[in-house]
Amino acid sequence: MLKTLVRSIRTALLPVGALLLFLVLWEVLVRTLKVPRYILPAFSSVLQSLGTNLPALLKHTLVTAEETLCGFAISVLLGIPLAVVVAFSKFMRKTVYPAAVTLEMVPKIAFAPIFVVWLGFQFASKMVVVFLVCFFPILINAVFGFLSLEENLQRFSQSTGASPLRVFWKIRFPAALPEIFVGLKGAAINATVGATIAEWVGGNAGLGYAITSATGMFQTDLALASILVLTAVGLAMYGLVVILEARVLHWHISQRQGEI
Amino acid sequence: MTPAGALVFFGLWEAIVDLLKVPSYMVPSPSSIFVQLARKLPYLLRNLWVTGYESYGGFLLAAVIGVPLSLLIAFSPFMRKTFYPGVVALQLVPKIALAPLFITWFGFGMVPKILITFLVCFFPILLNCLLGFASLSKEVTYFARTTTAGGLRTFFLIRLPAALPQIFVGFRWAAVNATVGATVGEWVGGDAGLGYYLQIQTGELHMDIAFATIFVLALLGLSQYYLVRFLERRFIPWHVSQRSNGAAKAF
Repeated sequence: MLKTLVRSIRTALLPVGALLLFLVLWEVLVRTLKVPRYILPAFSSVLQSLGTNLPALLKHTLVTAEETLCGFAISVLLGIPLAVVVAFSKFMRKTVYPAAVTLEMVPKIAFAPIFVVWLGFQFASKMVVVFLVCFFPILINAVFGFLSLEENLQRFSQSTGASPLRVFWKIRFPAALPEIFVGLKGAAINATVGATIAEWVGGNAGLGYAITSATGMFQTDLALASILVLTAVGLAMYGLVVILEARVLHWHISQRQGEI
Repeated sequence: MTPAGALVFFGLWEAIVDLLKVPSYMVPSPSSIFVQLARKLPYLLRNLWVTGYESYGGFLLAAVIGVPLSLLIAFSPFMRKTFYPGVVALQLVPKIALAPLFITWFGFGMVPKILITFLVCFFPILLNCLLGFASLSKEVTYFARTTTAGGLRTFFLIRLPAALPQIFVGFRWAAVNATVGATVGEWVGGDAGLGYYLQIQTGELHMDIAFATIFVLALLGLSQYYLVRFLERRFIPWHVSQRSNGAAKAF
């Protein structure tokens, strides 16, 4: 127990040291070179700005978090069932799947201005953009997971004489889960980015809006503070998926290995 | 997308828009988008040049800096212990959020867009190169040692080819990100390029021109992706990912 603690502290020492060095260098360079505040504020004034603007930033955080979570949830609820249909219907696999793979390569975020025109400046247009950037990674990875069942497992499931539904729940779905989580993780990273960009294109609230309105007034410290909060939201989303993965997939090899 | 599927999709779209008389400022019909694509072609091409320059430029910059840096990190234990966790953590950070700051720092020209594109391309490239160089299988490493080949020779004949498939995963990912970076950079502050043109046209409710712009933008993104795929096929025709006919996977 103590040994593992010591070891984990030792492995964390260098990266944490590098981060601290970076922050100290930032602070010192900005102060000694007298960099103007609107170009790059010292790290301490970013933290200060974070403290003084906390209530406003929290309000913006709630807006962005709501867009992100709703868009993500809808893309999970639509993406995974659709993946099941695509994986098990030959027709869908030949029509929908190639289209989805092509669309995955298209910059979907380009549709953001159009959704703002269609759905207005409020919640709905952002949620749809988040949905769009989350949906395809989830769909494509889930289809891939359902399709790539190991042959020996496939043969085994046939030999048991279990009904297709039972095979699905007991074998295919669990076997596809690791790949599904790859998609969920990718989508979790995309989600906050989608929400932020949608707020830039047309919005009056949220962390993305906070960033642009702060840079517009040359309050670079506030902009960096907002980016800090946004990063925390993104990491929280990702962390949620990782925790869920660890709970659901504790039996899988990716969860049992210590490192990559 | 299969040609037949595309034909059915656009046919249905045209029919629904025509039958329900959907106003063109809401949803334009494919035919009107096509007409605008032809009519506005000079403008679209001029803006395509700008966005293409930003998008390919940022991508190249990311490759030129990312690959050598990954070598440095992969082959120095100190660098690996120090920077690898940071790189992995930064992969999760929404880097595009820095776009407005880049506009403040570098103005409205092409430079901030190229830098934003660089930023969204750099991390996938760096991370996948690292993964490729770090995960050489044990057997191959031992074999390399038995041949008594020099470090450089081992690198070019064994390590680099073994890492290439993973490196190309990073390039593909970066190629998809590149146009997004350039477009978003133009939205945040720009006076030229397809992203800028798109925003102007949606602002004036010219949805047919907007869709035509998105079409060109999508072509730009696909061109970059397929260029990487083409190079991949040239460089690693021997790898299993190039030979299998199984389910196509985006990443």
